[in-house]
Amino acid sequence: MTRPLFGASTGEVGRWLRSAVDPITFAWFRRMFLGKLVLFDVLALMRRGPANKEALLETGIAAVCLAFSETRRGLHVSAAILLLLKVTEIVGSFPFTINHAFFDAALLLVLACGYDERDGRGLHPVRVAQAGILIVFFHAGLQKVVHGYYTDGQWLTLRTLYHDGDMGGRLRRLLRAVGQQAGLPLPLAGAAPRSSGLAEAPVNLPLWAWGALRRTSNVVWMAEAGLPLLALHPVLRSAAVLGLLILEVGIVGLTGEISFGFTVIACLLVFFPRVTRWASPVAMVLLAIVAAQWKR
Amino acid sequence: MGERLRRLHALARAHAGVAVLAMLFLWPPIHMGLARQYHFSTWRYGGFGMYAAPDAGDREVHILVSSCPAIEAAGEPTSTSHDRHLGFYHRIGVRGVTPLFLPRLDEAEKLALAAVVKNIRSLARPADFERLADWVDARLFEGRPPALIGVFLSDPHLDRHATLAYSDLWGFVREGGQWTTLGTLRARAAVEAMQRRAEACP
Repeated sequence: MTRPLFGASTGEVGRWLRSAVDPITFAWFRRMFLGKLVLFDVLALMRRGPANKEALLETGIAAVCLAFSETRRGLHVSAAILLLLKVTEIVGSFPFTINHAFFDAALLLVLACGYDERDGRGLHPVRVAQAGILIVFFHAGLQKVVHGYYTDGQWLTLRTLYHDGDMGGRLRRLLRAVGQQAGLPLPLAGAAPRSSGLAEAPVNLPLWAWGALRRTSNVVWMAEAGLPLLALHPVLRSAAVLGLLILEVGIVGLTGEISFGFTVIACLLVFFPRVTRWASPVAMVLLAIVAAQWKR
Repeated sequence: MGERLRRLHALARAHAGVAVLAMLFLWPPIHMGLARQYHFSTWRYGGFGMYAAPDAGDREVHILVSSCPAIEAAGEPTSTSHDRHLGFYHRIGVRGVTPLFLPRLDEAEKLALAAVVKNIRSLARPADFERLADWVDARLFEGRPPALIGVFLSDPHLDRHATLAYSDLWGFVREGGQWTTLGTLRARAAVEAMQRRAEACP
């Protein structure tokens, strides 16, 4: 018996999760995902210098694993080795590990365990990646509402006002560009000194900018929590995933989260098997160029 | 051995995907509840709550001290932006909340103190709150603990009247060697409560 699930049914979702995956789509997914791991190792090596033996060894192992992952048996072994490296990184940085590392480790685990379509048991790694990224988006959107910083635009406003890092600068530039176009009073040129201590302090931001940030915040959490639900429906799936792709490109552009962006885009592109064979390499090259610029 | 490994691999192959999806589905809501209950940063422990709430760098650590003897005003007040990584120290007294001055710290001590403050901001573990209070006892009061000390973690909030405040406090108060968890409080209420106690000083 199937039950309705946001317009689709659990039976349909189950069938989709267990459906076959085109080998070319799988190949491009793992090239993009494993390629990202190698790319970030290379960038870390460039930052730390080739004399850093630990970074050199890690990059070398990752590169060899990427090459060996092109064979069926080599993929499992390579993914297992990369998983070991990732677990080492997580243990080494714990409890300050970034959340993205856990998602990378989960994907490496399913790649290492493998999938055999002949026995029909288990889930294909591509389906796990697709469902996994929808779950991550959904929870990310939900958390934004629960923690209370998004429905009235607080989080983006705090970044705009007080952060002198990349994201604060980008938000201020964006708002200034909008303000200039529309002839509106312009917000701060730079990050404001944040009040310290327990005293309250007035916030210097034009009302129109506050409103724009509030609207953007609401669009972000609604898209993050809502589009994954729409993607459960076979008819709406492509449109919903396209929406998530656009959202993710915006997030990467604004936050500079290029490493996770790489993984997310790899997971989302496999929803479009007809275009994966050219879209994945194009996305890989573009993201690699951006990553090299930002993370050098 | 080989057969056992093969069986283990077959088991992992059959269930790894479902297990990963189950973890991804179940852990974030549990994490969300724990983060709200124990006030650790949503950016930690793999709950995918990044960007949902201010990260550790935006959170503030305050120490409120009410002590009856006057405190020597040596060194620098921490209520200046360049010392944010060391936390903020305030004295509660009859004149309200005033900055508490820190002695000049050497680089090693500064790093050690910053690490404790960073831990509180990210992880909010009770042991780190106590460690910070112990440091205050030792360095500011030379081992003679003040009557009342509160160590708080606070998140920035913007209210609808466009003011910035660090209004949600969570932390511990120590009185006579006994620690009490204050839970989530409005800052003003907590500060006022401490002030009322300070005013009872002889």
